[in-house]
Amino acid sequence: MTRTDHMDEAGFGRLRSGDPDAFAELVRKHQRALLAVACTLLPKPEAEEAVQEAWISAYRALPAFEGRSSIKTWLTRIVINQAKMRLRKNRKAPISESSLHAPLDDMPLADRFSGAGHWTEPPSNWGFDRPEDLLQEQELRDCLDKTLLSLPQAQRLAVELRDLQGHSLEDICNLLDVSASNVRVLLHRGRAKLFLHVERFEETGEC
Amino acid sequence: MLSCREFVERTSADPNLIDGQSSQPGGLWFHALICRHCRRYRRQLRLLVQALRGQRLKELEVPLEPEAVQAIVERLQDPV
Repeated sequence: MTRTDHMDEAGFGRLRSGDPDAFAELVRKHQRALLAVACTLLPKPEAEEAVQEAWISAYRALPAFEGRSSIKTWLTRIVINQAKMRLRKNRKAPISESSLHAPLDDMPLADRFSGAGHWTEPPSNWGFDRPEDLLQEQELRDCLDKTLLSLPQAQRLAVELRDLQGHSLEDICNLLDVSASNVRVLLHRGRAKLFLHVERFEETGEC
Repeated sequence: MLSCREFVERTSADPNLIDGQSSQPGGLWFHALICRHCRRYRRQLRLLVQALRGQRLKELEVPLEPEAVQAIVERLQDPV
């Protein structure tokens, strides 16, 4: 994907020349998504500051933006870098190395299978056929928000970027500086934990 | 033959679970054909991811307040 997927050349030219109206349009279009990404790494007040700083960096760097990635991916990278800088400043690991490279056999559903790998406790039937029916209950939405927040940073970021915002696998590898197989592991773990929470909620009404 | 555990690992690690053509090598396809538990896992996981995506898209579509946009653009002129 390139810049021209979402913006015509004239619009891009206005942006690069520093047109405030064109930049305001960019902010309107991407602010919420960028804030959601920043919130996977930082508490909300700090995430808001990181995104603000990212806009300033982006505004300065726009004349040099070559359009090799989409502008959305480029902005997301700037936000992630800003968030990592803040984490470093607070002496916290930007994204835990162990959460990126831990072995695949440490999986959330491991105790549901026999030694031969067959289900011993198969998934229960949630009784929904449409996605919009699944999240009708506010309590389940709250539960999933809470579960997302409780995921290790790297898993949360992978789920946010791929499942919630639809970034491509290639973009996520570049954004997180990890291999495709690592992204798959992160997705597997994050999704399986979310699955288990929905299952528990459907069975017990508790998160 | 693929075990249920392997099917679950590969399914929930699939980046194309809901977008585009999901990669379904023969082993996965055949396993899904014969195992209703794994079919249920895949169907419900897809449903969950689609629901989360739909909810996030709704949140992202809420227009930003003009004052919020203005505040960001103003700081570009005076970033200190």
